[in-house]
Amino acid sequence: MRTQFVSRQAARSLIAAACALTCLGAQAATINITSRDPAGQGFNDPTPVAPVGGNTGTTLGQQRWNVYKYVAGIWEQNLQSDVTINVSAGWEALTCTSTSATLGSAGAWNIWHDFPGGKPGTWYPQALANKLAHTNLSADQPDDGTGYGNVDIKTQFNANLGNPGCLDGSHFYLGLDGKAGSDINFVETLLHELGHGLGFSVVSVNTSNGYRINAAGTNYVATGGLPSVWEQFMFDNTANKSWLNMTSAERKASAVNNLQLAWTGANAVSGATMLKHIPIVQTASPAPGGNRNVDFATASFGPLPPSSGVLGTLAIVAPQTGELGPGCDPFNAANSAAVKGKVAIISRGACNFSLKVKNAQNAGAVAVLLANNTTGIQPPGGTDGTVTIPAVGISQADGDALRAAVTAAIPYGSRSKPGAVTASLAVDPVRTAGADIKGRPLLYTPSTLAPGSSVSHWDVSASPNLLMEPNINPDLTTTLTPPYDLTLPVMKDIGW
Amino acid sequence: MTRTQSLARSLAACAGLALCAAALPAAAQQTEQTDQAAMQTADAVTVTRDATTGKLRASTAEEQANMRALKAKSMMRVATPQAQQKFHANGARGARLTDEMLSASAQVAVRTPDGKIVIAHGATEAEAKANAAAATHPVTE
Repeated sequence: MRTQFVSRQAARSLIAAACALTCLGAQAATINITSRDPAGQGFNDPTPVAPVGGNTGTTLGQQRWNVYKYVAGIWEQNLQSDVTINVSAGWEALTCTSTSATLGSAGAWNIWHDFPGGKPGTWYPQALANKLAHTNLSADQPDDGTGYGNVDIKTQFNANLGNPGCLDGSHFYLGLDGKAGSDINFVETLLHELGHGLGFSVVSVNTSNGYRINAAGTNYVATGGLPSVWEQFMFDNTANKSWLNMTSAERKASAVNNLQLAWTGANAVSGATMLKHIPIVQTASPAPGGNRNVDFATASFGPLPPSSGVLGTLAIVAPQTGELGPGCDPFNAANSAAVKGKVAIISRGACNFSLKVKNAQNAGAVAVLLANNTTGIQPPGGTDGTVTIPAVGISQADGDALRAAVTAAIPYGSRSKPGAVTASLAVDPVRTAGADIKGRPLLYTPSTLAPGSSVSHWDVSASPNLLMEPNINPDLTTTLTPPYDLTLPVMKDIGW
Repeated sequence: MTRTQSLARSLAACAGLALCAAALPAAAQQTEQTDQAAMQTADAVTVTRDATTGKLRASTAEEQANMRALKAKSMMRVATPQAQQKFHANGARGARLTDEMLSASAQVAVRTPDGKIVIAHGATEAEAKANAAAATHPVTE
């Protein structure tokens, strides 16, 4: 019986130890912010300001500090770690012009590999490495002379934003209520940037050449570098390969493989059910093969197309004698008769998208499908405040198929009422905005590399907008979990 | 040298320095910082907006010293030249990164002609500016 007693005692001890470990792991994170600013500047700026949007500070410096504490608090509520996260923060005179400004920057300032609790041979941002190792790995490291060489995250933001010569008139909004108006919401900006510093980033890969940082941590190298924990979850659907198994050249190619780089972490994939289904143009035709689902991108000018319902009957715009290009000249009588009250299909090329749409509008069209003249779908850019009908960009293949469908439908009607193809707005029953066909959220991989931005953000096609897209959108919240956001699931995937 | 010439020379030097700092990689910046310091010492003509009159005037020696100190401090804060290797007793290996190595770091905001603000990222300010420029020039035809 004594053996049984010992076993019970041992079991209790094991349970207690497990509980202790669980409790340790479940400890809410603490974020310590240290200012680098000298007296009278940055966080110490004594300029009097009125309290705004729940920020009760009465000096500019106080309000800046209050936002930092507020945002740190959001992260503290969402993350667990028994090691304090140290952030070095400063306000500096970053570069500006009257119409542009560097807002700031932030990132993991130290990275580690091969520590207890981490995946071997893998770079981690220090804050996460510390959490997993249950110790501050930089605690006994000599400082590099800056005074902040051992911090987890280094941040700096523009002290002059909004002043004359520095994105004139557009200040950081320091309220905590999200009502930034035309100013730049500093809460969301900082929440986003701290996300990068905490690990939402490929960290140790140079996306312009696919090189990784070597094990010594001194250089990017073509071969032999260590992967980052971020790479564990990057899967290229075209190459059918994880970034872990790619060469530098393959990683370089994958970083610009638009809409084909998926995140495979279980938490984010599960959370991605929050993404909305992709809107499509759905066509209905009496002729065989005329019922199609067509992907589109909305134009930057004119009204948005309706989210559902009938858009109209499709019409072909025929080439006109001596025209500059498809739809580039005022429509002749035949084309005007063809598109009146209908949805005109016009090919890209030779003149601005907005001019084509304006000409169609003047001829009485109710909407325009702008078919690309090369591969892919080109979002029609431009501005024209006089355009009052919706326009969308579609692929060249879909444009050709829809024209063929319009022609094929004609015999299916009567002489007085020829058969026609009707276009409606609907949602794809399977695919979601910002995810691949398997429902895995997509990383940002524009076909033209955006260095530092590509692969370390969600794709901009995500809907609803996500905190960690490249742009800070005005409809973001400070909730980091589904159904509002996917940031925290990703953090959990990488080990938080 | 007239005061106007001095001012123009100073402004030209400042503009040149800003462009260099944005374009150079970290390793090159370390060397460049030495060159810049030498340039500033040799061409130590600086101007200050007078707090009373609001007009630009030649800086006093004390003001020049303050500016040099601020510049040095600023450069120290924004440009850490080399990664620093780290070793932990538990076998872990680490590195303190540099501003150049930070991924998804810099954010740049650009006001487009229609008044919208576009924000873009880059590993450096120069890259973020290039990304913002691309974002503010959509394909229009």
